[in-house]
Amino acid sequence: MEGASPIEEPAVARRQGETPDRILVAAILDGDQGALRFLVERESAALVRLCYRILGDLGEAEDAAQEALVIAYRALGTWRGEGSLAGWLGRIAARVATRRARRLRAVGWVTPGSPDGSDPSPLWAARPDGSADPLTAALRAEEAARVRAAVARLPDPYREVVVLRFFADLPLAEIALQLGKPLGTVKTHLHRGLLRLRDELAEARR
Amino acid sequence: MTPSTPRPRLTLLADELTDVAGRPLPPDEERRLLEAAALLEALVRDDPALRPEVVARTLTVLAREPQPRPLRALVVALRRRQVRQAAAAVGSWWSVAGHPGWPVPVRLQAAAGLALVAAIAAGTLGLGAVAGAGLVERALNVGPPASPVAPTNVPAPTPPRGPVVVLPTPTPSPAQELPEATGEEPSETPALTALPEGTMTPRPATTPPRQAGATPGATAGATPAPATPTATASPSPLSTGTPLPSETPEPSDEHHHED
Repeated sequence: MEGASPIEEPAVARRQGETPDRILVAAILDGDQGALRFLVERESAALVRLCYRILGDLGEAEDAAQEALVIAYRALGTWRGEGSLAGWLGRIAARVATRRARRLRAVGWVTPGSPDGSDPSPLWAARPDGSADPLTAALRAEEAARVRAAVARLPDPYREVVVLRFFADLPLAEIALQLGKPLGTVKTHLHRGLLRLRDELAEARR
Repeated sequence: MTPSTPRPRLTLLADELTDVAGRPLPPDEERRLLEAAALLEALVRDDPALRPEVVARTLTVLAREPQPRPLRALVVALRRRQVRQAAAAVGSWWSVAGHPGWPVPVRLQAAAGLALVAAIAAGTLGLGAVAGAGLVERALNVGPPASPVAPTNVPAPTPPRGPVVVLPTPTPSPAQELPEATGEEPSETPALTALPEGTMTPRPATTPPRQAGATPGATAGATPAPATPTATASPSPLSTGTPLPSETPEPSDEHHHED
């Protein structure tokens, strides 16, 4: 971070009636590379996590997160400041990852990952207790792939709300702000999306 | 989901299990929603850690990107007096305007900047061309002055409606004769006795204007007669030296001249 970044002075931001996100965006638009680095360092982890939840592949998730940050940077001048910057970035990343997920599923192969643990794909993921059980990991990976595929098949408004709520960890009020829809509509979409998802997965198990 | 799968750490919040009006959902629907939420929350248990090279790689990619506000980038660079960054900002407009990956408003802004630069360049070129043409024209005009051809025997301009002086014998240099003619008596008009009687009637209304050196008596009789067909054919009798038939001299002058 170069020099004193505006986002390090939240008191000033509150006094001026502006959120730190607005000041951060203004600094980036003015060409402040330190502010841009701060934003990338702050949001990368959440974006990679979100993309990984959608894609199930770390390499793809990292690429998707990077693509989302580039898209967001290009469109930063159009950010209206409604809702949080993290939510706006999450929405972009969710779209990018969903598009990539469709393309990957059209190919129809699963990355096995590397046995040395450098690629933590679901097949080789360590269990919470630290032990590596390939059978359990394979079963979990299969189940996870089914759930992700079912999410990707949801109709557009339902899928976006479900992804932002469960994969981006955004509250419904924030989702409503990001989507520009009433809270009741967002809640309805969440309910309908979850019911469709549950029914589809139950149907697939039979 | 396997039986060994632990319970999801997250579930739907209380306010998310109500309908639009805030009323609690039916138990069956609530149970189905919680089952679906559990399936999704099972996915988020194995979140990977962020690798540090991801941030560095992303920053490297972003460093090659043009500024997200093309015109503002130029203004900021000019304000900071960074000429190189200002030139880079202008140079990036083309790639921004022509790249479909940029948002439409940003592309329009870059295109507007390009149009502005093109207009300024065209105006500058036009002004330069005009200035250059002016210099060339001036350089072509600055040369040895053309030798003026001064006619030595240029006849003096004769007023077309001056006093009618008709010499009996036309001389090749009427300009030399003119002062004499004007200095002489008006009675020196040639004799035009052959004219019919009807044409000799003086008409003061058509008397030509006076000239310097001309006496009133000389012009009193120089009246074009309407009966003569060539009364207005030759406005300057000095150029030909031929007496016009319509010029009606005074009878008294005629006798004086012959004397």
